[in-house]
Amino acid sequence: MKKLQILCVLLLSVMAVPAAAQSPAEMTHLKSSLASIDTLPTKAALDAAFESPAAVLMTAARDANLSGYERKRAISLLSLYPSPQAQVFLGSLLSDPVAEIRSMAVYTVARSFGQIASDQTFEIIETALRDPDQDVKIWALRGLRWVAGPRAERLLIEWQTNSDPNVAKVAKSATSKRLRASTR
Amino acid sequence: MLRKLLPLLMIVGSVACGDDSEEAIVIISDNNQTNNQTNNSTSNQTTNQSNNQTNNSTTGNNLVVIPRPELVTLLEQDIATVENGVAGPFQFEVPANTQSVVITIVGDSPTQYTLRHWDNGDGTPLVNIGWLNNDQGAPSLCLNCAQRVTSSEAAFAGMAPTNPVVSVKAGTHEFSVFSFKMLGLFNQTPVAGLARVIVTAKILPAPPIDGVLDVNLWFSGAEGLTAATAPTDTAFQDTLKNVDTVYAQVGVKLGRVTYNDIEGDFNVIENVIGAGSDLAGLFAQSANAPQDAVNVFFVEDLLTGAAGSQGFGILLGVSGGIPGPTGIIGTGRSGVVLALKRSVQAPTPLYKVFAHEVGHFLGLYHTSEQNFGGGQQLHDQLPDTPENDPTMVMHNSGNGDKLSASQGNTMRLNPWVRQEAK
Repeated sequence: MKKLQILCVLLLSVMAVPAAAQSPAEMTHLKSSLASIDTLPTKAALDAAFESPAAVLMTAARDANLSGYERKRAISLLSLYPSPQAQVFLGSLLSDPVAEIRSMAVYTVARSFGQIASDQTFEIIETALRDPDQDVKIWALRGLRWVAGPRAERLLIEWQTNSDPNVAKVAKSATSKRLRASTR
Repeated sequence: MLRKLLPLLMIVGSVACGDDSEEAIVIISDNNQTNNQTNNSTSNQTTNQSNNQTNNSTTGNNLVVIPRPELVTLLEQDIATVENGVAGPFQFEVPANTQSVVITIVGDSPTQYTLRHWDNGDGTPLVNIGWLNNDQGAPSLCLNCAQRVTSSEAAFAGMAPTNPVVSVKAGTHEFSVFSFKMLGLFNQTPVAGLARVIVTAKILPAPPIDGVLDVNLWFSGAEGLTAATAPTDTAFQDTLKNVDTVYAQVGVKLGRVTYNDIEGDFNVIENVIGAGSDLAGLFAQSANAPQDAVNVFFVEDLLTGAAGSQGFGILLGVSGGIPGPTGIIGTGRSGVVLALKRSVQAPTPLYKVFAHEVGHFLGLYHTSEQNFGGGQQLHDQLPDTPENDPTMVMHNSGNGDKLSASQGNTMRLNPWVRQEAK
């Protein structure tokens, strides 16, 4: 059953990345924007620039010709388009060979879908928490700051006692920031 | 059109905010300090960039203010905006030989502040009355003003001149303030409330041809850098040397540098907008600064967005304003923050991001904004900055290292750049 679920996720992720037919000029412009150090295009700007901005961002997120920084920025901007397809796509990035990409993918899932977290959201987060790379675990826990509900809280409490002090520290920090936000 | 420009400006122009319930501010006025807060002890040490020797050690309770005879506070008062968001008009007298004036407004978060108008000493408008009505939605940037101004949350600063077409005239200046709250991304509603206005003038016989920039550097521990390790970290010291080299093009050199540890959990800044944001909490630590200087914070990663908002993004640097607040520290906009963790194939080295963001804090705009999504492309008001030239420090890519003469003039006129005793 588990294998079937994974297969479905993979199939959906392929389906979730429609070919983004953009002109070279448009893609150059997107690349330039993704390389910026202190500005970000908003949803309005992306909507004006592209017929299917989410698809374009997904293409950029997978584009091996872009730098890690640019790919991460493309992934984060998918938070502007929190569709089920986007969540599936972000989950599929957990198989990316670059840990930084996996880290940003799970964090974007948590940040984008945290207020409406589904079982699928938690499956992606829990998959990241099993990642062999410490940073991926850390970004998954960091993302739980933004995920509502007791399930996220339980996960954070569980990871506060992890044997890796850096991981445990982030779990405590995310818990504390959740608490602060809820009492503000 | 401004709806298309706003997105590009929102990061550097309108990011930080203050949580007034937690914030403590320090007003620096007429070479004296007014410390209205309880400081925490802060680990820090001071070096002079030119000789890189430790000069003294101090705690956050002892703000060192280097005598600045060229700076004069022309006005400092509490103001109240009324239901239509307007306060004023207010007047202040600008003496002869005034080279620049900065109006700083500090209030509550999430209120946004800007200048409704500003008339020069000869009565000509620096900021046109009515620009707020001409801007669609929420006022973000006065494009048709002789002196460009933005709006910003919790703490605002407007400086003149930041372009060579404008000069500050002696005489009676008049300005009014507009305060508002954002309704979504593009709309606003005026709000009433209290704020503090500080007007600072730089008075010199002639425009300065050089200057010294003192900085307080703050470390979260990211990449192993702390107040203890950074002074001897070769790579970090190379970064400072490179910044010094970039600024030397326009006669500005780094002066007294202090090294400080950030208190609390600010290693990753996850939100920069809204009351109680990570960034506002970080910048508020500048209230513990050991010296009257620009505060530059180093964290591991820097993410934008607001609490409760779905959209976010990744940045390498953020400035508290264009320019940042003057004559005051400890506000939610009192500083510059830079991400230390170098991503895979990071687009630009740290020293260029440092030079770029501090450039914003001193009053420099991007030489050319991206016109993502089409529409009119926005450029700065300076005649000697080539358009779309990525070799410029202030190009939106942040990957350049050139500064123009006009940019240097703006930097040197900013009160944060002091004139060295001859």
